[in-house]
Amino acid sequence: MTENNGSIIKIEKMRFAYYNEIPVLEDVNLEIPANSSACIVGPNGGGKTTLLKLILGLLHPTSGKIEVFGSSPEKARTKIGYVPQYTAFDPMFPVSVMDVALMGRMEKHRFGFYSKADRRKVLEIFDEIGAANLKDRSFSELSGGQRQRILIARALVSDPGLLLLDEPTANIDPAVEEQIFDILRKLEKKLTILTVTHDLGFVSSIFQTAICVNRKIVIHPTSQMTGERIQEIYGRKIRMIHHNHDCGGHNA
Amino acid sequence: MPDFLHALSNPDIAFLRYALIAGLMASIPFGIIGSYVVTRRISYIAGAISHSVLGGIGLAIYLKTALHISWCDPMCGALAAALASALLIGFVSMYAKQREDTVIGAIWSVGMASGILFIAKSPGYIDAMSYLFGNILLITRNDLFVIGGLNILILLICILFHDKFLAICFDEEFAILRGINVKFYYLLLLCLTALTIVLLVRIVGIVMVIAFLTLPAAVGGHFSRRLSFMMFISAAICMSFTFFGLWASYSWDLPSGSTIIVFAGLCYILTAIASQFLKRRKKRIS
Repeated sequence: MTENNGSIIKIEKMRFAYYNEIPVLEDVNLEIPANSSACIVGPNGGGKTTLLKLILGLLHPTSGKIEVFGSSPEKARTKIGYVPQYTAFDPMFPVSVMDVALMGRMEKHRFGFYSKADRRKVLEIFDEIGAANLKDRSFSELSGGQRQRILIARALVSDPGLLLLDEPTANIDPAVEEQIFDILRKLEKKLTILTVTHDLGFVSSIFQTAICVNRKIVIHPTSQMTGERIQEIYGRKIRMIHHNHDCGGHNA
Repeated sequence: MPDFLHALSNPDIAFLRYALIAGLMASIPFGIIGSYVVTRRISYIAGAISHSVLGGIGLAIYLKTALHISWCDPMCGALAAALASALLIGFVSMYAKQREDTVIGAIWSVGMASGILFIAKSPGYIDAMSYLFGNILLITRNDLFVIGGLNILILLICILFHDKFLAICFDEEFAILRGINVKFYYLLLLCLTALTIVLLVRIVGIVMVIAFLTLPAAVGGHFSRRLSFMMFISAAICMSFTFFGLWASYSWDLPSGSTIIVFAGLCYILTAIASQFLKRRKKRIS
């Protein structure tokens, strides 16, 4: 199948609940067109990460349908570049930066070792995102921001059509955060990006659309999300925001 | 030391030479698999597999002595039990994650208990101690071929699939997302661990397997920035543990397995302290 009239992700009437309990996500309809980018915002426990895992096919909807690149998430998986949070890793793991980035191409060979082409691709991506100076380092001795950058590289070396990031700026200091934003701004011109974030400053500076997830989802164009508007909705300084409004009364 | 080296070349005590060759050869898979076990944090699974081995050994002895099935060798029993419990733990951890530790505990103790029962009901005197605490000095020429064969098998599989094993040890979820059959590779890794454990049981015994699988890798981990280097260095450390352990056990007439393990433990403590010290100094300098 082709890419389904240009939409990369298509979710219809989806509902998801763990073990038949209260649904985490309900009545979700979402369409992400090609070459667009969006961020997923919402309160903790609102279902942001669950939505991400459903799109990756790590969880399956209780009812409804998800299509990614016009097929099931499991089939489309290898076309997605996924960037988890760097804090999820064992800080002592003996692995080099190169080893980590090469993992993005692990499905390209069945036996034996990574090819020269794999290494060339990694170096190319390192250059692109400004990580070339890190290539000989050990992953465990990098700072949080550097690790996050290498994880982005790992996701990019497979030439994905869609990049999914799970809170790429969590636990990273503001100066480094800005570097990550720069990388994403550059990438946004080439591929579709979907990122989970707490940081609403992020929302308006890069993305066209904000998907608010709190059991149900509501989509805002970020043009409505000027700094004043955000402060008005959230009542606090942007960086400290906890997203817990009801997105226009849909939960009434 | 010269005494020990002289004894190694003495044809009358060939067992000492066999013991050393077996230990040195087996150090290679110990280093490789030990590094996976330590980084993937499955040393408790390794512990359960090794204790279940006694069940297999007991059953094999029982079948051989009580029921006269002559091809049933304790090594075969050990191999079968180790692989069976590896697969069982693997399936449970994949399909019922929250029950994994219960199953590990059950396999651990039921394996041992059934082994003791079988041995008790087998005619003749069987020394369970040598299986529990190992007796490297009982290794025969034939065992060397078995160990050599298993060695080659483990090495070959690890070379073919190292990239995949590294990926599932580091980040299993990402490996799933790259379309890798993670369940298959995880089970394969557990089976390789089981094979290695059978080799280890021969040398240090059931009870001390975890120590020998994890201590060299833990010592090696202090000096390693890559998993492949950690494997290389742990194998070298394993070899030196075996050599010096055997030397000490020969010189002072001590049980070989226990000597090797105590020696390994001391080295682990010393390197842990040294690496803390170095880290602190590095911090002070920078």
